[in-house]
Amino acid sequence: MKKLLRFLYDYRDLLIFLLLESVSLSLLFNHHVQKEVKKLNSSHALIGNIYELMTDLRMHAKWKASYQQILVENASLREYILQQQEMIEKQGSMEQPTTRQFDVIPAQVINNSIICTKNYLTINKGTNSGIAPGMGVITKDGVVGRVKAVSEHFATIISLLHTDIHISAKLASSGVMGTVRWLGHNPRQVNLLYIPRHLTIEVGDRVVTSGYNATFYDGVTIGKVSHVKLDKAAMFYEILVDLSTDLSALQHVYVVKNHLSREQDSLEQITKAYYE
Amino acid sequence: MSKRNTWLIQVANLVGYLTLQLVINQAIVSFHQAYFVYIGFFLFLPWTRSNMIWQLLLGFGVGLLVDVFYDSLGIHTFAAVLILYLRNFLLYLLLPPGSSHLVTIRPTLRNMGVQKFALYVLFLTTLYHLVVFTLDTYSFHFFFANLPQLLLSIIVSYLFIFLSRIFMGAIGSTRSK
Repeated sequence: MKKLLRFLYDYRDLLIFLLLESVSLSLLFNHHVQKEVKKLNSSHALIGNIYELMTDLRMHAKWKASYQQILVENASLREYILQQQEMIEKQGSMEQPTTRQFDVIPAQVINNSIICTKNYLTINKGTNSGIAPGMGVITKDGVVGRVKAVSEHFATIISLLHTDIHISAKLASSGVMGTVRWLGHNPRQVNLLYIPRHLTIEVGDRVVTSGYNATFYDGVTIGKVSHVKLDKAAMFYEILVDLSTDLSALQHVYVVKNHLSREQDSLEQITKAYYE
Repeated sequence: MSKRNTWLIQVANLVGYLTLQLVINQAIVSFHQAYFVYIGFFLFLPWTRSNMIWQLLLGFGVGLLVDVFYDSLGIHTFAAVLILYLRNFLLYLLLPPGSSHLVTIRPTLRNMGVQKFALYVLFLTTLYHLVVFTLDTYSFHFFFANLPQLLLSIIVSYLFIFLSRIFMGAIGSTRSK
């Protein structure tokens, strides 16, 4: 016993070192531990406040440009509304009364990263503004990501540049469905997977969200096909897509709130459960 | 220098380096580069042979804090504890023999000389970035694809840490006059 204590005492530095390293590695790799410490991320109020302060400082110079950008965007949105109204008027009484399904919540990006293979953003809106985990995040140019964690005033978003995020997509011209996933190094390009080889794909085709899940609505732009490759033995095309959003320069984003997501999801779950 | 004074200076150091780290990474937004300048805090911690455990625990705490900022739980914690542990051996090699167990030494430019100091900072900065990049990507495919960026990150961080130390040294010497 005495010897054991002596041993522990003599090697206390090494033992503490090994203990701390194994704790950090379990934080990194063990999903069970990750669940327990889920609250430790940048949507935490204190960290969010620090990031917001820094963004305010940095943005001060860019304020004017940002204001201009909002004005332009506002204008184009108004135009869009007008067009829609005109269309509705033309259709006249054909218009069916439908529940309004999607709400858009504007937010400012206060922290952003593109340097890792698993990137996250932080925005300055949280549960107070009605944001919940799982909602989609877009800009006027296209898809940004999906909400991961929310606190009262902040939310962390899994960026599109995250190797674990998969987004259901389709080709705008043909409507063929696939999955968009990031490769992990070029922040301007993503992969479009599972497009079967019997189809013809053209460079320049627009890739948009499919609307087959409750996160995004149908037809949000993701990017343009920039490179198509088909190996002789491959089942699927290898397609590279140039992103339409510059994820390194995000300032304002919109969180898409789907009022009917729970209904859609639970109906799909029930159907699945019934047939399996 | 009184003991209380040392504490205050170290806390100020920590806050200063973390701010510098955040400011640099928010100001220089470019592809795939990460500058981990805050490790300057670890590099210039006063060093004694006997307080190893406290240093490791401190490294763990600060690493965890940085991880929370970057949503990378575990990566910086691991790297911080690692360089604090290896720093111990490196200083043992680099500092003059005969420095006793109980004397506190600050690994600064003035105490070490340019050559040893440069080597010391370079070794630990490189190691830190290597560990963080490898843990972040954990695959060698990405590792080689990102090699130029890694090198650039190391060089920039190295310069910033070196300059920050010279700057702080200058402040220190004017205060003592």
